[in-house]
Amino acid sequence: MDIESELSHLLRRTEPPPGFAERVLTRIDVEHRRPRRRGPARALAAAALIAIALGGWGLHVTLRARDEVMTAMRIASQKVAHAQREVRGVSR
Amino acid sequence: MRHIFISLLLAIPAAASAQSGRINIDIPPSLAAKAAESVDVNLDGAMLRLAAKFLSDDESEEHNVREMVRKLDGIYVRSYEFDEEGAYDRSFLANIRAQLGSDWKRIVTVQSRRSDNVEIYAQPRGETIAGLVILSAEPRELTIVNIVGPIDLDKLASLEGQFGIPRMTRRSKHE
Repeated sequence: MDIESELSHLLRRTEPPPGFAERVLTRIDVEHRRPRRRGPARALAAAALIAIALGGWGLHVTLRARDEVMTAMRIASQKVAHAQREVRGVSR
Repeated sequence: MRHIFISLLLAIPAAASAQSGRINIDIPPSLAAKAAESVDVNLDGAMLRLAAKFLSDDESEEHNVREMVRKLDGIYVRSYEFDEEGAYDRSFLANIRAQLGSDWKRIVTVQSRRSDNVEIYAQPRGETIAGLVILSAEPRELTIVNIVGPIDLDKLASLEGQFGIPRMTRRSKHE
């Protein structure tokens, strides 16, 4: 068999097996219905969680600072008031 | 010569910060570790302004504190309570005093064998005080307070009775 006749044998027109077209269409339909990747939604959700966590942390730091202000002023006021009482007591 | 140069390099930043009303309170870790209770407050101007927004405007003590800290550039406190007397070396306070240059004035010294020894230093600027340092040494307690910024001593002292702690009256020697 020469090469020309071999090629024409290989490239001859053949009919697809029965039901081939339906299987292809069904597969395409399934691919279209498959849920899309949720990358952007997940990224948004992660960003929202990070923002909430950072906000919570910021609030925690601020409230702690508020308590520290009150503690510091309480200590400072006690010491100054004690010194004032002693000085006034001596000068009487 | 080399030691002098290194000492000068170390002293310059401390002196520069003391000029701005801020002092360097470096507590040795060994001293803090001995304390039964400790308070460590480091609040710069930005944190003070942020914290002030969360102080109530209605309740009197918080309102008064809020008005006072809004103008400040920093509050730094180290306070340690010890289980036993003499747990700390009072010479440590000399390191703090050494930072206070000629622009700092000692305005009050209270010395007592039994109770609080208090020294109050202020850095006058015009008619106001630009910085305040309180050194308090009790047998079982050591407290160092540095307030940076304009502060009214009378208003600060008047806060004492507003923290749920009754004002103390001076005890006589016969009590």
